[in-house]
Amino acid sequence: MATKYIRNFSIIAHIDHGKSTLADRLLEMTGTVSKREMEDQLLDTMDLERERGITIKAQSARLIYDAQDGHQYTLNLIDTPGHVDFNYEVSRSLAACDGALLIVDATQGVEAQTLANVYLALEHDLEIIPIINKIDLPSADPERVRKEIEDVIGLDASDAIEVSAKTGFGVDKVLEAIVQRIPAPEDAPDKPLRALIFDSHFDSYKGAIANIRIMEGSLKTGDRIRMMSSGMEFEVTETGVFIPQMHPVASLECGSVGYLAASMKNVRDCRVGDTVTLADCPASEPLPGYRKATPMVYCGLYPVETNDYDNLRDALEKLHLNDAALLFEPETSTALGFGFRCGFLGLLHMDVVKERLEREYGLSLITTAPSVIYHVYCTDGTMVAVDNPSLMPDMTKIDHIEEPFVKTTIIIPKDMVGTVMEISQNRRGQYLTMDYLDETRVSVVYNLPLCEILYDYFDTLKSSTRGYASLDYELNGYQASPMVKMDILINGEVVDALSVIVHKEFAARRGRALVEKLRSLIPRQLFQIPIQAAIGNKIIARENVAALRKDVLAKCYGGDISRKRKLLEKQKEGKKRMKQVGSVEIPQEAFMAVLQVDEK
Amino acid sequence: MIGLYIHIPFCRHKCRYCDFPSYGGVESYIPSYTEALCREISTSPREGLAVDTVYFGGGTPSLLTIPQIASILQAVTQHFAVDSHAEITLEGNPDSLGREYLKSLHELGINRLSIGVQSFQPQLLRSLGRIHSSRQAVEAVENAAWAGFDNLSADLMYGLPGQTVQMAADDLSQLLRLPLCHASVYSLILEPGTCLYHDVTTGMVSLPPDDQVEKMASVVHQVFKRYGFDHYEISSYARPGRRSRHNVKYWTYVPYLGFGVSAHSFDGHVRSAHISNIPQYIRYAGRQSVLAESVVIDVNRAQEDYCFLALRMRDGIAYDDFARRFGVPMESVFGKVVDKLVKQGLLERKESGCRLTSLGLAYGNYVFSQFIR
Repeated sequence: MATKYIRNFSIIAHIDHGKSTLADRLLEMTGTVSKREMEDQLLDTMDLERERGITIKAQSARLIYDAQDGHQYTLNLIDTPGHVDFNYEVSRSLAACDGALLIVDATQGVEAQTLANVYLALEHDLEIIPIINKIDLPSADPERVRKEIEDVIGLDASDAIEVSAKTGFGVDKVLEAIVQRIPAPEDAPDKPLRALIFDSHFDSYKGAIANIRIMEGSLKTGDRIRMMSSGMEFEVTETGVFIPQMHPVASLECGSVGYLAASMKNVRDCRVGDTVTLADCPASEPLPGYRKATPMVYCGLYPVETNDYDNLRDALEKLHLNDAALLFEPETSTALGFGFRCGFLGLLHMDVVKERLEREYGLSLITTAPSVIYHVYCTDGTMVAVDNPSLMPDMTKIDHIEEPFVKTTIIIPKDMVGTVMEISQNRRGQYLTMDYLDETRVSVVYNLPLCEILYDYFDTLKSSTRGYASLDYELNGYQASPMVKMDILINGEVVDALSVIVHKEFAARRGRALVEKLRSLIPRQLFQIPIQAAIGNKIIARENVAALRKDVLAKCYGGDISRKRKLLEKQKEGKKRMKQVGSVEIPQEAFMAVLQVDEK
Repeated sequence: MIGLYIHIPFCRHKCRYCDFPSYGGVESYIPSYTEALCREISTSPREGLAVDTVYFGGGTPSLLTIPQIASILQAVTQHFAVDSHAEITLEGNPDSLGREYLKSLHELGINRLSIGVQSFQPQLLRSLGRIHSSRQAVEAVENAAWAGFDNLSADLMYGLPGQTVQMAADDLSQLLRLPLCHASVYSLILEPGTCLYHDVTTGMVSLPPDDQVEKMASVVHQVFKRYGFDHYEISSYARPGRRSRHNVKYWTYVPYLGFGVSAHSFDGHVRSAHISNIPQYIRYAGRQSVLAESVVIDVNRAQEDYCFLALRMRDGIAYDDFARRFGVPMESVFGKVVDKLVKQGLLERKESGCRLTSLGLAYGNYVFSQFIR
């Protein structure tokens, strides 16, 4: 098919604004998927994605559309992940497109992620078609939203399309707009092949599958390809398109979107953002923008049952096949034994991996509190990157510590500005700017330490704004901060897995809150257990877990064993995921307690 | 051989701490309840089973008249093969154990009495809502001995509202002056829904602090030891050869059959309980099922139950018996648990089994709960 009949587009939106629903309607109305086959929100294939209403892995689909001009068009929909953790993936998906549908909820208006994604799309020079969704809802206010799109984003919204993805109203207009307003791909069939990998996944039969957009040249089965970042070469065993299942075709022409399989052993062989070219006729330059995904958040993952260590490694390896951004390496903790230090793109990525390990691989895990990467400058002039508090160099050897900051955009109703400023300032935020989006809503930008976002910023923000705040952030460099390592001692012994790095001025308060929380989580044992927080040798907080009460001796109830058993079961409850640390049993939740403390 | 338990849910007055299935002020049901019991026993599908213990529990079984007890015993002996040396126990309260009554009981073949003494201090008896006096308690035991009972047990409680360690010690020395060969001694458990629970939660009375109750417990252990009693089960003491053969069945996984409201049965595989409603029981007993629930015990649960029950006995778990019953070595199932508890000083391994240490006795519930997976 000639490139002029191809349109490559993606859909960008804030969570819950209806991206997946609109995608479903497009598939349905072009007959790509029949109504009968239609499982709700087809593109989110993982259970987890459907449960959380988010897209983690990008998916693609080829739609065949008979336009009003009498021609048949191939519309390639490239679905993008919808969360700040996966910003790089979003940017690669957008790079594979020539246009984007921008969905804004007619009842909610522009949100933080809407903005973030629009800016990404504009960076790629995409043609943006604004769509106002959910106009069937009684509280819809399309005129206000139209104005907001113009004022806040600066897009001409006069021809924004009003739709209800739920009922299907207006979706036909969307299809026409894609054809008429989004430009056809550049036609360069004779240039050497340059194909952008915008996603990848692992197939147990075909190996790693790269989702690609052919920018220049063409590709067919049997071609010998080269990955331009690594120089690795493979022979293409299959090329195909997504309908939306994988469907083999003989070749992929310039401008088209599809996949390639080449007996690649894992997804690291075809990293997102890399350029595919032909080995015997290579392009001189790769496509711009490739970078390796770098984890921002680290935590320790340990099996509750020590003999599950091998199973955990196997499971991580399997997930890693499909997720190049997930890093893991073995580590040991005196408290928790053998486990892995894992790096994630963000908290959501961490949660998703953890849940998949537990759900899909049946593992019972202990997670240590997440940490950012600190740059620790030692007095001898060296710099150590510390992602695990227990590996912090001795205090006497440290010259200064730098921590990562993120530029954080928060959109809120204007009467909540005070609250947000207070929350942000209390967490060492540096005020940057504030803009009125319209008469009622404000966008506030703060430079915040990433560790505060991990700690409780997000939850506090959500609860104190009753869920109205939307948030987006991007890495904004490192700054020196007076950070200290705070150890937790249980029964007089440092439990390495509970150590945290905190700002000096917050240490006393957090120390108190943390030992208090641990006291409530650690069940009584045969002896009194002191719980202390310490900086170096200085104890800054202490609580005691009282000793277990001795039994009162009960009479037997005429052979009523079930009653006795129920009491014992109750006593046993919650002891399932205990970890023996020295002579003390510590429940699994305790290791995440640092994130759930109530500071007074 | 199995045990029979016969529940008599009547009391003159409900004690303030009691949450057992027993009722005060409904003695008018006793005649029809006795008939219902006899019907249930005579129609039991377990006809002809060999029985070597019978236990009348309550409630206050001594509220029944001699003819009523006789009719129940007759139903039992006609329907089951009762061993000639069977232990036949009846629970009674001191206020309903007169000389003539005791003599007749003994003649009926009741050969063991369990007397609810609880305390000898008038104000403690009052706070518990007991209607007998300490003098009646002493007389009841002496009368029983006079009537020919040589297998006498008494229940005693400690940790009572306002009780001191000295008061508990006094109760013990009074108890041990009596001609007893068995005692069940247990601390007061405050059960939600009882009058005493209300009294304590509203601050009308207060229970002694934990450390005092722990001291009382250790005084109890010491005194019984000094008097030559064998501490054979967590809360039971016996002179040599005088263990409660019936109660031991509960701890050693031997089957027992219960009759009457709220009675529990165990046939080796299934545990079941009867309905608790007296009028309903009277209507249905012997005519249709009076089961309230019935649970098949799977092998995992059976192993767990076996262990925490056996550990109540000072003899503990005998590994050969476990292996014979379940076909696997005990420590292949619970080895890790045993290791941990031994390390904590709560359990000790002996030649062919394991048992609670003296520290373990104080933390029995913790130890037992570790066996639940």
